[in-house]
Amino acid sequence: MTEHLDDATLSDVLDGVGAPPGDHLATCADCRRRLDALRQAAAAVAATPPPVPDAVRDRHIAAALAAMAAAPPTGAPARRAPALRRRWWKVAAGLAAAAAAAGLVLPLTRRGGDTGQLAGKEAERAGPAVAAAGAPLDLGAVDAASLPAALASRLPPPGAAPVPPAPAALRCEAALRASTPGVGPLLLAATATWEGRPAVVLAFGARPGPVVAYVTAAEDCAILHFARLP
Amino acid sequence: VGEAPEPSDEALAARAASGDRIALDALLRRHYDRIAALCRRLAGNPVDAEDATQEALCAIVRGLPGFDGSARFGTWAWRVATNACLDELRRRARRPTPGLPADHVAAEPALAEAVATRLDVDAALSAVPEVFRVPVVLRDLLGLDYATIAAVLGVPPGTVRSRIARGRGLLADLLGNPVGPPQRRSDRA
Repeated sequence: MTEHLDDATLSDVLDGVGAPPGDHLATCADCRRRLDALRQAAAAVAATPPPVPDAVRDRHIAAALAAMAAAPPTGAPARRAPALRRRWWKVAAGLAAAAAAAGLVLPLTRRGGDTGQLAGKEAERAGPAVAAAGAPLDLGAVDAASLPAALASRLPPPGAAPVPPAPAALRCEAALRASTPGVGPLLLAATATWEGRPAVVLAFGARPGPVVAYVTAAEDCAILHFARLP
Repeated sequence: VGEAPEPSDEALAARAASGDRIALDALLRRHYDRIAALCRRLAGNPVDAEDATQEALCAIVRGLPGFDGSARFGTWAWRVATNACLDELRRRARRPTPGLPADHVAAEPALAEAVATRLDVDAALSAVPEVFRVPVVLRDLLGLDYATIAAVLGVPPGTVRSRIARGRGLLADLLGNPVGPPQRRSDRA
């Protein structure tokens, strides 16, 4: 009985490792067929799967960045409550959805009898930056520490129109909405400088309510930073 | 004027671990396509693969503080991504199938039936046991060498070799390629 080559030997031939199989392969049609079968199997796996749509990729990466913002991977390994140990990216990714849900409240609040009073108080707190709104806004140089304060003083009060977006911000808003459809109403879009780079700051949500802010690169709209404001 | 060289994975990982989101974004985008492809092949369908890919990315982000540079970032990342992807797929597999009794367990495709219907690569791979499927995907899809696969899986290179051979053999059978003659040595294993 002919001793054929086993799959391990033939697999080695495919990968170019192990000892040469000798003359048997050259003379045995059965083993050559088996080698072809293994080669076809390997080629089937090697075929690149259909590409992931850009929107899905961007959403995945944005969620990972958002999760990093929620639990920055600095210093010692992050310690989280047991309930948050798993599915935390869904929690992080859900922040945008929460902002969208909060946005549903806004039209109802506008019908409330005391909305105007609340808006007036918010406008008083907002200060001259909001009162002077009407021109595209530039936040200047901001970083992770200064961003919340920079936004808090400029976010429009409840019932007020959003701050007009800077023209450079429109493209990044569109890109962000394409990858993260649940971000909710736009509250503010401004240019800024982030770590020395031209950036666009986009804030979504409703006032009062949580606000989700994204800092994106002005050049390609890549997300540089994510923050959730109270 | 020549362009500045791309930062290495290890340099980006170090910056990302210290909170640099630009570096993390660049690192994840650099490896995204291959991580998504890995999860796609391990999952066998785009729906499960999407969640598995997300889990893999977040596992890498979570694990960055533990990446000490003693191994190549790629080796570390493949280990983290593979484990996260498989964990997610196992969780999904434990969930009851909608519309079926809670104790219903979906039958794996029988080998003979699979061969008879000449399954596509996703279906065929899903019928290959995980212990063989994973090294085959790491080798044939990602092109990792045996030593790297051994480091990713935490098994000796010899085990990787035998598992790849067994996985390819099963896959060849499932894809409709006839098994060799009865006296083939692998049949006695």
